[in-house]
Amino acid sequence: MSDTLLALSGVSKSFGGLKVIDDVSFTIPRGSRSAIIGPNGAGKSTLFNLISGAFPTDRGSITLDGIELTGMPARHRARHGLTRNFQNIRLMPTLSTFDNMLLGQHARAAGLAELLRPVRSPRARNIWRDEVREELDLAGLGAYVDSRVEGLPYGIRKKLEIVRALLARPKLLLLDEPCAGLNTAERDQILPFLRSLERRGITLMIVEHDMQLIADLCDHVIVLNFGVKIAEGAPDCVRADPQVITAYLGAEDQ
Amino acid sequence: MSGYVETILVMLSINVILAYAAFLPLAAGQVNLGIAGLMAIGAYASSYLGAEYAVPPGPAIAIGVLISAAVSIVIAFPILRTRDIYLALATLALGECISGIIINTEALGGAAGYSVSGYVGLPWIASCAIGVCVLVFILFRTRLGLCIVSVDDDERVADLLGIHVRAVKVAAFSMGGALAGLAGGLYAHYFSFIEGQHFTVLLSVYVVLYVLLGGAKTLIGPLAGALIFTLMPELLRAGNEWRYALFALFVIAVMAIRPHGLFMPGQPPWRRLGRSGEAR
Amino acid sequence: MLLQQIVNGLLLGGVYVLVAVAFSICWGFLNFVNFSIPALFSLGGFCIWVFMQYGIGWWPSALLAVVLAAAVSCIVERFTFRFQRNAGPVVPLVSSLGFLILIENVLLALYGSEGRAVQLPLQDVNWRIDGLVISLPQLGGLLLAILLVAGFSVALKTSKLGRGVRAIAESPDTAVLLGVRINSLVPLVFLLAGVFSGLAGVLFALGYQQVSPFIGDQVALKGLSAMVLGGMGSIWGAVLGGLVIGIVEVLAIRFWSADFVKIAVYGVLLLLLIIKPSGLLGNGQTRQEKF
Repeated sequence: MSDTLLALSGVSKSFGGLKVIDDVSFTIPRGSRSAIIGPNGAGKSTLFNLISGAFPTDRGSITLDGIELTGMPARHRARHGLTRNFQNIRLMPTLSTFDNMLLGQHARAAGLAELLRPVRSPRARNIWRDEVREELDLAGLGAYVDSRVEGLPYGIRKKLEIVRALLARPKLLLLDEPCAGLNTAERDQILPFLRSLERRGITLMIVEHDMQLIADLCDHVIVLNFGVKIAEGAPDCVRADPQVITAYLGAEDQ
Repeated sequence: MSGYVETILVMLSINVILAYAAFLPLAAGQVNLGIAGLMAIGAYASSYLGAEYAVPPGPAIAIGVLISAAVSIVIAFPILRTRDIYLALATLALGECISGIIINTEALGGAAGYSVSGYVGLPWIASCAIGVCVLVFILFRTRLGLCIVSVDDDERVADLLGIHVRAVKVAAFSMGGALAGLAGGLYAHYFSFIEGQHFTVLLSVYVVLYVLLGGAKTLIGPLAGALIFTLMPELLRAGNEWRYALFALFVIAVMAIRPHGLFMPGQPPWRRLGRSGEAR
Repeated sequence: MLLQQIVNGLLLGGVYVLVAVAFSICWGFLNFVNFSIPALFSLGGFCIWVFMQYGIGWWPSALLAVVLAAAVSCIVERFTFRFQRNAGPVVPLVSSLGFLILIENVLLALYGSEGRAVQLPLQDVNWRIDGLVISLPQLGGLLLAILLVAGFSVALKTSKLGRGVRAIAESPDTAVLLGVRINSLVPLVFLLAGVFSGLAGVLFALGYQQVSPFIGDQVALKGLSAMVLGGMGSIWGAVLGGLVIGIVEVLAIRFWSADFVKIAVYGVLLLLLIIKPSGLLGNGQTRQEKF
């Protein structure tokens, strides 16, 4: 098993003439926690969308654990071990926590037999139900299993979305600003949870603005500016990189 | 049992089956205004088999269901390229085309209608209605049912979670079409006579209306809607002329107070909702 | 011969144009397919007969019928759009369908389903040139329709009200911030839709001299097809669509039979929606999902 989990090579994407991602290449080692940072508009979310398959790349290739993702429809990527959360939390609003978590398992519940199994039945006893309960308990969210997600607090929903992603048993978990909008207390709560993911052998890739979080959590940082990779390395090196400083300060000047 | 009561119960059963025929695509976010056309296919196919090939009612209706399902699957692929209101309009056009084709086909009786030789009585029809209810309830306990609902909630995310959105939509649409075909076959074999003019857009509209009235987001909503649509005019002793006007008035009133229908998930119908959707 | 058919088609199209424009303004400005329009059409056309039964002259009856349709349209607004804007796109659609059924069935219950003759002093006045027969009432209707739409189009571009309505179409929230009074402009759109549909019904009655409570159904659905054909939301597209559908219908009757018209028109609509939903004058953009 190779040491590289995710490899991007020469990836580019334009939207209507505007080049949003320009010839980006990097590799993510298995088991690492990487961060993608950059000023607003640098293309971070677009990069996530390209990796998860929301839109196709114009050029370049993306491989996950040796498997070529380029050209693969989004719904198959989940099956290969790639999941994500969303910056603005996209849980299914009319469904309960339990149902949302079940959906997270969908990528692993292949085949007609699984599709037709009455898994939502309150009295059913099956491994899927148990798994959902277990994951929720691990995250400290067991109490919310039957609640409708619509009314739950922001911090809880943010965590739930990550638990949903975990239920796909991913190799690579993409987290888009997992701490955005959280107050200090909520943030302090979510940090150990994110750290625990490392113990489970999940490789993380995070988009974040919170530099402290990145310093605490990540061992590898990639910096984007205007769609181009301008730096890559350990957090301390990247922080001291003059190009990175200019990119951020330059952006502030505007 | 008097003939009058028996007819009401038959109509109720058929309306319940039609309710779930409309509900399945609605659960996936599709407004199907062509249900009447798919019902017509089931009705005419089963009747034709009985008349031309002496197929007994049971198998004839079953084959009618398969034919409606097949037609629905074939049509689903192009038609589901449209969405929202465009889909509603496309299904409307589809229903009218089917009804138009039937009226123009002499072999099916043309505008004069078609006689049905076989007969199916209330016990069978009621059993089918109950069977449909049970099947639908079970379906929404499965992952497939969950997929259907999630496709309506957030299609993009459903896709990223690994759900084959296209396949789910086609499945919901086709299952709805099959149920419509069942309703058509049963209708034809009880009333012994069918005509193209019965299976119009207006019929589809009534069905969709009473499903939305009952509440399209719960499993019990369509049942409630069918009950109200069938029984309310009888209870109010409304003459034939006023029954639909009264029904429409009721729909408008309910939609104004509870836009999501009488039964909402987690909210009993006697809880009044304000305009913002908050419970008072 | 062919030219006569085309002329007949254009005259028929005049009626479709008004209906198509009514649909178009509701869709273009409010993102709402207003299914009460066929009922308002029936109401306008049928009520001109009703008022004439009371001894009122034909043109005051026409005026009253249009006013009635407009008034009912405002009631529809109160009970569909105003409450349910935020409940999703299906709900106002459903309520407008409810009004369609309510209005037509009330007319049915009160007056029965038989056709009624509308007596006009101008019956059978035709203009004959070069062997072509052009019915004057129908021609008058077509010209009136086009004039009205042109006037409306101009008013939309130049007047303050028009700008407000267009702002709402772009973005209701921004419009509110800019001081546009949504609560008075949305009823205006409904009022106009009522005027156009009611007038279309009246013109239909005057041109064909036969009305029933259900004239709206087939005519208005063709108006809907016309809107889609011309490009949903485009007013001149609706005009073009209306005229084309009129011609297609007349030619279909001539070369096949009346029975096939239904299949022809709806078949065209179906194909259009699948292949090119943006229609002839639409800008080719179907709603893109923002990620």
